[in-house]
Amino acid sequence: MTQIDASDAGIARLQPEERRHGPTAWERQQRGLTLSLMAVPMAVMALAFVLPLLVLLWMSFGGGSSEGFSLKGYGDLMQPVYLRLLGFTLQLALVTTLACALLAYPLAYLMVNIRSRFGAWMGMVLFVTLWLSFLARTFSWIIILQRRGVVNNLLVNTGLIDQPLELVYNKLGVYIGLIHILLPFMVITLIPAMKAIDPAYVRAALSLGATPGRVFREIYLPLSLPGLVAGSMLVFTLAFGFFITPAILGGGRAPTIVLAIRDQIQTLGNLQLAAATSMLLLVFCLGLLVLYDRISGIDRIYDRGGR
Amino acid sequence: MTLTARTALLAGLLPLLPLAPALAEAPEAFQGDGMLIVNNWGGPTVDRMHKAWYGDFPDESGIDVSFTSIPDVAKLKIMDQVGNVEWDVVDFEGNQMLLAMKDDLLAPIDYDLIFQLVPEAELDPSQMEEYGIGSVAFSTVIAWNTDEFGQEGPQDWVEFFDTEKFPGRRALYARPKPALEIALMADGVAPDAVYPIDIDRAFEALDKIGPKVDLWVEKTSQWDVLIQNREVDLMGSSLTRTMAQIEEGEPFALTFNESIVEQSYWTIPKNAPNVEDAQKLVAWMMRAEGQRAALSDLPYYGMANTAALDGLPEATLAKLPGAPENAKNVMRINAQWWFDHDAEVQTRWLDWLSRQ
Repeated sequence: MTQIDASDAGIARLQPEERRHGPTAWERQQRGLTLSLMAVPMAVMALAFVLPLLVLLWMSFGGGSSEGFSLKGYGDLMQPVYLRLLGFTLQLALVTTLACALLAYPLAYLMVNIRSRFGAWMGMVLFVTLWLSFLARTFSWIIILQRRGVVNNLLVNTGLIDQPLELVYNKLGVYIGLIHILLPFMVITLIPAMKAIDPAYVRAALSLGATPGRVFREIYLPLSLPGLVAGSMLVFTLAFGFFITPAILGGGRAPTIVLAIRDQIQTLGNLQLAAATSMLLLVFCLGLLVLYDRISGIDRIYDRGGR
Repeated sequence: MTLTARTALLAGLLPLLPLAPALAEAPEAFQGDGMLIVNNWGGPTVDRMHKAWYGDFPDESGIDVSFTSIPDVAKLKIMDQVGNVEWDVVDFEGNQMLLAMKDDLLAPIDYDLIFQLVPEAELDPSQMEEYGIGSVAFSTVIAWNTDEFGQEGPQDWVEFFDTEKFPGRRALYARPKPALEIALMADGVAPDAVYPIDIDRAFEALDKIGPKVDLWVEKTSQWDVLIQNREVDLMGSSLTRTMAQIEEGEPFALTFNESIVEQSYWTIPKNAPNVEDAQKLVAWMMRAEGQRAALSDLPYYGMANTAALDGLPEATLAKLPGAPENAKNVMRINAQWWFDHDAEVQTRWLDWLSRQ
C-alpha cells in the first residue's frame, strides 16, 4: 500500500526553491539591467542637481571665498529687510498660485471634455504663449496696462472713467503679468490628470442619483487633485523665483527676495550672502513642500486618476 | 584684404576723419592670430560703437574679435576659480573694476604698448588706472516732456522735484547709485560737494523725494518704452536712450546741468585666454580716429582720448557730454566711495525701497 508522501521533504519538493543561495540568475540579470538603465539618469541627477546644490551649500558657509568658512552669510541675512522681502515674495507666489489654480481648472476641464476642434485650438494657443519669451510678454503687458495703454484708452474714451487707472508699475501689474505667464504651466499639468479620470466613474455616480455638484466634489475633484497639486507646486516654485516680471511691471514697488540676490551677486559680489539667501529660499520651499505633503500627499502626483 | 562689412562701415566714416591714415597693416607689435572675446553691456548701439573703435583691427592685426554681454564680477570670479575665464577684455564700471581688483582678477594695463600707438599727451590722465583705462563715461540726465513743459524744463535736481512748477509723473533708476546722489542734490547739495556721502542725510533726503517718484526703473531698456508711451513727464534717465529717442522725434528735451557721469574702464582678466592680444586690442581702441568715429556716430559718451574731439563739427560737440560746455557742472560718480560703502548702502536701500 502506497502512502502519499506527506512528509516535510515531500512538501518542500512542491514549494519553490528557497533562496538559500542568493539571487537567481534571472534576478541578477534584472538587477543588472535596472542598474545599467538607471546609471545615466542617476549620473545626470547627481551632476546636474545634487552637486550644484552641495556647491551652493558649501558657498553659503564661505567656501571658495577669501575669508574662509564662517556663518557670516547667514548672520548677514538676519535683517528685517530680508524677512519683509521674503514675506512679500511668499505672498506673491501664494496669490499667483491660487489665482492660476482657479483660472486653469475650468480651462483644463473644457479642453479635456470638449468634443470638437476647438479643444485642439485652445491647446495650440496655450503652447504658443509658452514659446514666446517672458520678456516680450512682460513688455506686452505694459502696452496693454499703461496710462495710455489699450485698457485705459478704452475706459477713458468711452467716458467710464475720467483719470486713467493705475494698472501697472505697481503690485497689481505684477500679479496680472505673473498670473498670465504662469497660467499655461498649471493648465498643462492639469490636463493629463483630468484625461486619466475614467468617465465611467462620473456616469456611475450620476446613475446612482448623485447631484452633479456632489459628483464633482466627491469624484472629479479628488481624482484630479494630483494634477492640481503638481501644478500648484510648479507654479508656486516658478513664481517664488521669478525675477524679470516683478522687476519691470512692479516699477520698484514690488521688490522680491530674488532682487536682493541679484544685487548681492552683481553689485556686491558677495557670493556667500547670495548662496545663504538661496539656501534660505530652498529650505523655505522644502518646508512648504513637506506641509503640502501632510495636507494632500505628494505621492498622489503619481496616481493615475484612480485607475 | 577682403572688404568686410566692418571695413566697409569704417570706410563710410572716413570722410568724417581728415586725420585718419589710409588703411595699412598694423605695426609689428600689434600682429597676432586667434580670437578675442570682448564682454560689454549689449544694447542696440554697441555694434556700431565697437565697429567704430576696432572695426579695422581684425584685418590689420590678424586677430579676430567677437563680443558677449554683460560684465559681471561674480561671474568672472567663478570663471577664474574653475580656471575657465572666457573673456579677454571686459568693460567694467568703476566700482566693478575695484571689486575685481580686490579679488585679484585683473591684469595691469600695458601702457608702454598703448604709447607705441597713441601719444601719451592725448589720453585723459584721470581715466588711466593701473588695471583699467577709460572705455566710456555714461551719463544720467534730467529729461522732460516738451509737450508738457516746453523747452524750459527743470534745470537742476531741486527744480526736478518742484511739483508746483512741474506737475507730472517722475521716474528714476531703482538703484542707490545714483539715487543717493540725486537725493542729495535735490536737497541742495552742490554736485562737487556730494562726496563723501553722508548716508543718513541721503536717506532723509530720499524720504522727501520718494513719494514724488511714480516709477522706479529697473532696466535701461525701459526708458525707450516709457518715453514712447509718455508714461512719465520727468526723468532722471540714460543720456544714450533719451537722446536716441529725441532724435527719433519724441517730444523730449534734456539738460547736462547736474548730470551724473559714471566712468567705465577696459579691463583685462589676468587669467584671460589671450592676455597678450587683449592688450593690443585695448591699445587699438585708444586711437583718436576710432574714438572720433564712435563719437560722430553716437555722440552720447565721454572717451579717454581727448584728441578725439578735434575736428568734430560744432553740432556734434554740442551734444557730447564730454564737450567742455556740457561738462561744466556735472556730478562724477566716485567709484571708490561706492566700493567702500556698497554693502552698507545696498541693504539699507532695499529696506527703504521695499517700504515705498
